[in-house]
Amino acid sequence: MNRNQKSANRKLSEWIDQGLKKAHWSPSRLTRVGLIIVISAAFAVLYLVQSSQLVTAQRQVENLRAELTQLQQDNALLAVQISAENSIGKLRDRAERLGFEPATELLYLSVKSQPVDDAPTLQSVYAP
Amino acid sequence: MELPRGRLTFLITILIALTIMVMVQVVRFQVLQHVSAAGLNSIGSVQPIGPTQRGSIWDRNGNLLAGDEPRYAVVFDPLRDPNANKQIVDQAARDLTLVINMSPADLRAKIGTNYQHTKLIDGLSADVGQKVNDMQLIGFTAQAYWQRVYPEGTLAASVLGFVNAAREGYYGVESHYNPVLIPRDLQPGADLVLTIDRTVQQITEEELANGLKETGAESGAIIVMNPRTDEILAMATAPGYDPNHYANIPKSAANTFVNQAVSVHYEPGSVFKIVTFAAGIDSGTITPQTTYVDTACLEVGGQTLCNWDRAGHGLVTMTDMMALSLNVGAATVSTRMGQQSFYRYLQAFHIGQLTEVDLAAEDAGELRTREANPDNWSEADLGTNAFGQGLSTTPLQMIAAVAAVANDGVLLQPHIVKQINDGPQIRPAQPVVLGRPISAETAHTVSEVLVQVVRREVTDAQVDGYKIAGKTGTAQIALPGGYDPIYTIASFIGYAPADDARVIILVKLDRPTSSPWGSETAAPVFQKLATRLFPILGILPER
Repeated sequence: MNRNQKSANRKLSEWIDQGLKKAHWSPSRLTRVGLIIVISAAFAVLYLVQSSQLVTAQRQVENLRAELTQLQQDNALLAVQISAENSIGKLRDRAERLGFEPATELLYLSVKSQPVDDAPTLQSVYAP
Repeated sequence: MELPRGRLTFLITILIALTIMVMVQVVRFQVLQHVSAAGLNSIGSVQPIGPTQRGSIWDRNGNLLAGDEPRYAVVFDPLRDPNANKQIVDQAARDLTLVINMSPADLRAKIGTNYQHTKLIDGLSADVGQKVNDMQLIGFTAQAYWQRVYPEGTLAASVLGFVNAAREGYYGVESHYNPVLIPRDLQPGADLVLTIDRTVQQITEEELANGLKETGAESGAIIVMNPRTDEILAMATAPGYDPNHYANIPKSAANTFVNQAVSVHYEPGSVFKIVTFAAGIDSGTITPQTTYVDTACLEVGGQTLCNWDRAGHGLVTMTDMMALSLNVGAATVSTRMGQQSFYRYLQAFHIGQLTEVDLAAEDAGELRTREANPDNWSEADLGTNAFGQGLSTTPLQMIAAVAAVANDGVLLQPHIVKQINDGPQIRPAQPVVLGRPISAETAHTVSEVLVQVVRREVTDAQVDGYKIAGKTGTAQIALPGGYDPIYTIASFIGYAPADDARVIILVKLDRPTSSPWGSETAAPVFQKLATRLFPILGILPER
């Protein structure tokens, strides 16, 4: 400990002594030591409580992340399964089983209430 | 009152011990149990693999074309004690093999007697992975990973490409958009919505397969595009492959992965006369009624260029020249224009230049000009280039150039991605104008002539009730030192309705054996495809 530090410690000790004198309280050495220990213990308990809460929160976050990941996996799996079930090959198989056949002859009917010009076109279907 | 010194020391010691215990507990909670908690998930439950999902690829109607799904790999992590390892491997050989469908002998052979970290099997479904982890076998865990899957199988494989085991995209959209699709900062990659229509793609692939079967062609490509936006509605190439099983393709057949519509150039042949004719009209050199005397052959730059039928057709109009596909007439147009004007138009049509389509490995084709290639260019090129020889394009370049004619003379950039969905951010693609090589008036004139071409000479491409504009091509195949004496590349480009084009289709068949001519091979494929597509695309017949 260098000279400056010693001087600073002495000043702090004097400042505490002056404070105690002003409060008209002169605790014994033992009381002072006990006080320091109690304060330290209080800090330790406070730290412990905070740390416990932090750890608990972290574990909750980890669990939520794991749950999120699990849900993402489930969603991805379902999306692929739905797409596979709705793939063109499967749809065609199902349609054929139901007795549908590819159209070989198309007949366009003119509906008076909807002029041909209003019928859906590539432009309307695929408007950018 | 003062406490005895001994008791005080005892009390202080107890308090210090308690404080130390508290500190130890804090360290245990914060450090040791933290690690343990993370590891808990690998035992008896699904192991998290993180939000590292690659972006999905959808067709324009929201059908999934490529996506990630979780798969599981069973991994053996040895213990330190060799005897214990033997015991847990014995147990796994007895119990685990029933779940993962592996013989005990195979399991033992995989692990060996050295008991190293070993991946036993991968590609397991989520159900099986869950079962393995529920067994809580010491030393064995099922670890999840993302696997790229293509629910439609072979559909649009050359457009999509594939993702390898290292999660890198190869070929097609998977490669071109790899930086967009890969996850960043633990966030899943962006999704792509393609301009491809799954149904149009399926029909196109079916008709291409039928075309190859009927003509005996060894390979081929078809592109279906909206000429008003240059959105690619379908792009089919054959032979194809299943990107789910890309590894089954032998290295010697790696060309299967190459998108022939984008990455392979060819001499387009007579379909190129559309560009020559448009240039001639727009420059004022010719009109559809302009006449010339068609001799069987014409000498240009010291090279004799002949018609496909080696016959002279006498006094004919330029419309006749297009309908009869006369090489002498096309060379007459280009030579009358002069090399400077002719090549200026070709460059305006982006011949020999990348279209910058958003697909991997686009080929630029080749166009020699006197200015750019004074050593390789000759006067004869001016004649041969007019009918699509001595230059090369990709099918995509060719259809983009003709789409400009269908689109009132405006050349657009073809594109395959309609929209990028990056989380909440949605980025739609807009048509990009590359230029206006010809005027709208010229474009309409050319369209009218192309309608005549189909009605007069390519009836196999005609669809009843529709005004089809189109042109065939029968190109010789360039080989080192000359041309293939037997085989050709047959093609047809057509669009409809000719007056207000809504769809343009290019059909290209390589080395057909039933006939070498585009009019007898590619044109019928166009007709069958167009007949099926028009109703689906809402293109009604004329009344």
